[in-house]
Amino acid sequence: MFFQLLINGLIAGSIYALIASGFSIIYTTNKFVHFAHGSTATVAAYFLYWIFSNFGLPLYLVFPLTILIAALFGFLVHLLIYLPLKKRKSSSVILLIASLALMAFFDNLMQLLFGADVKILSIFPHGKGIEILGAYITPIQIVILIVVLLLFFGLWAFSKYSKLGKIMRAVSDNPELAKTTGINSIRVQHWSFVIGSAIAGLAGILIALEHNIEPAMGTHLMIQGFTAAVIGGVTSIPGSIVGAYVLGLTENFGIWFLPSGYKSAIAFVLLLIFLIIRPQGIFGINQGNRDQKM
Amino acid sequence: MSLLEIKNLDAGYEDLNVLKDVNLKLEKGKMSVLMGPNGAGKSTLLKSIFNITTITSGDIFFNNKKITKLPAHKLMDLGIAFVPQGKVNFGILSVRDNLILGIHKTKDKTIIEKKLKEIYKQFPILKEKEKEYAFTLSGGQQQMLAIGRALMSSPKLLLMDEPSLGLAPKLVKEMFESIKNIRDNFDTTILVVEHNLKSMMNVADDGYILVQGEMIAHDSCKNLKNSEVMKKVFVGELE
Repeated sequence: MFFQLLINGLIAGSIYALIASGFSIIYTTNKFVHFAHGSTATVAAYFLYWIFSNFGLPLYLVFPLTILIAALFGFLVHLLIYLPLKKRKSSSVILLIASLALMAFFDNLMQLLFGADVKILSIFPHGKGIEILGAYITPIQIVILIVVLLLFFGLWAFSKYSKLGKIMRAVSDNPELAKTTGINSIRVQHWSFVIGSAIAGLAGILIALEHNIEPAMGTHLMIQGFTAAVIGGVTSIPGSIVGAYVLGLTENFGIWFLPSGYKSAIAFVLLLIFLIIRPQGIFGINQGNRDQKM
Repeated sequence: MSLLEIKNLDAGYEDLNVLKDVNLKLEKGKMSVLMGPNGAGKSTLLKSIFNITTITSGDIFFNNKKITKLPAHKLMDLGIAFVPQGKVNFGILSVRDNLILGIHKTKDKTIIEKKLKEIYKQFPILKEKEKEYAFTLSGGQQQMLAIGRALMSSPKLLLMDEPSLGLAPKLVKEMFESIKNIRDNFDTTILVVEHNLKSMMNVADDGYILVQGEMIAHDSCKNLKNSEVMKKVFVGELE
């Protein structure tokens, strides 16, 4: 039982981490809550379903194409919706409201285009799985764990060593100063949407393979991803990943004691506890007042 | 020849107009100090050159090229660097990365290393702390880092907003010496906003006095020091 819950927790955590890390990348460089981030995963999952069932393209083309579409989707949302609002000097609250509208719009658009029924993508058959220490794990779940680990190693290296990664951290730390240092912050924000949404695209694929596809899937995921990001520290990408695993494990070990219907309630209780006790999250840095902002 | 020329500039923040018909001409290779009481619009003038205010009328020329309302990243390409007020750095990045961001468009690693060496020579403490987070530095070190980052791009014009703010008196003197060295060693024209008039006027070449958004005087620091206008604006400050 323990190992099964541990594995379930790690898999749930991996998927939350995919949403949370992309969300964090966008949040840190743009400083507003992009709630429609979950919809990016939904759109990607439906695109995958559509292209797979209609065109019969090989998988090595379908998956990268889906990720590309997700990245393009994120880029266009920023370019066509958020950027015009930012240019009119909208506050982050206005942008948040816009993102909620986008979320409702795209969830309903998917329902309009594909119907409200659950879509099942049978690319890989769901087998019984492999038994490890009395717990069952399916091949897709193993793939999810490995892909997520590799991705996070890549993300860590990107933000620590690459120039764009450093520039993104600079913009997230102090956007005004970044501007006076000659950094084109709009371009950096575009990149954050492209990278964050590509990760959401990957999440869409993995969720489509592991679970099913439905119009509201992104919204549910966003709630978990947002909670994970708050737990870990919204401004810290590694933090949001750790937060995702904390959430995934807490939810799954929680149902050892509580009926499984309380899973979401556990997430919200955790969110409330962190907002009250440690709002900067586990990894959020409190720089103190020595470092003055302009 | 003038490097920077501001003609009849009106600027401020949205509906708040701060600068009124301001004119200014900076000579190449000189260090000028911009003085004035609190709220005169000194920072606004610097920010206007860097196009982070709302400019309503007037023009700014750099090397005889019109740069009014050019985005900040394009001004950097032309050779203008800005050290904002308040020892601001990218706290979550290392000292070294902070400096490198000053020339983030340069791809050539040898140029970057050469520039880093120059900065470390000017501010040796930064070399010692190069791997540490910027937010762990002391106030004086943070100011050096902010100036160092601006110098990385070898700017033709360096704008500084109160570099001595919040520094201990001993450090203020060192800071002004550093700024003088920058003018001489880096071949940079400097415009600095300062409250420490006495020490600043000993090292700067020219002085401008801004009062309530209007430029009321411009002369060499030597002449300004004993001028009537100086006494009138800053009663007792020089005595």
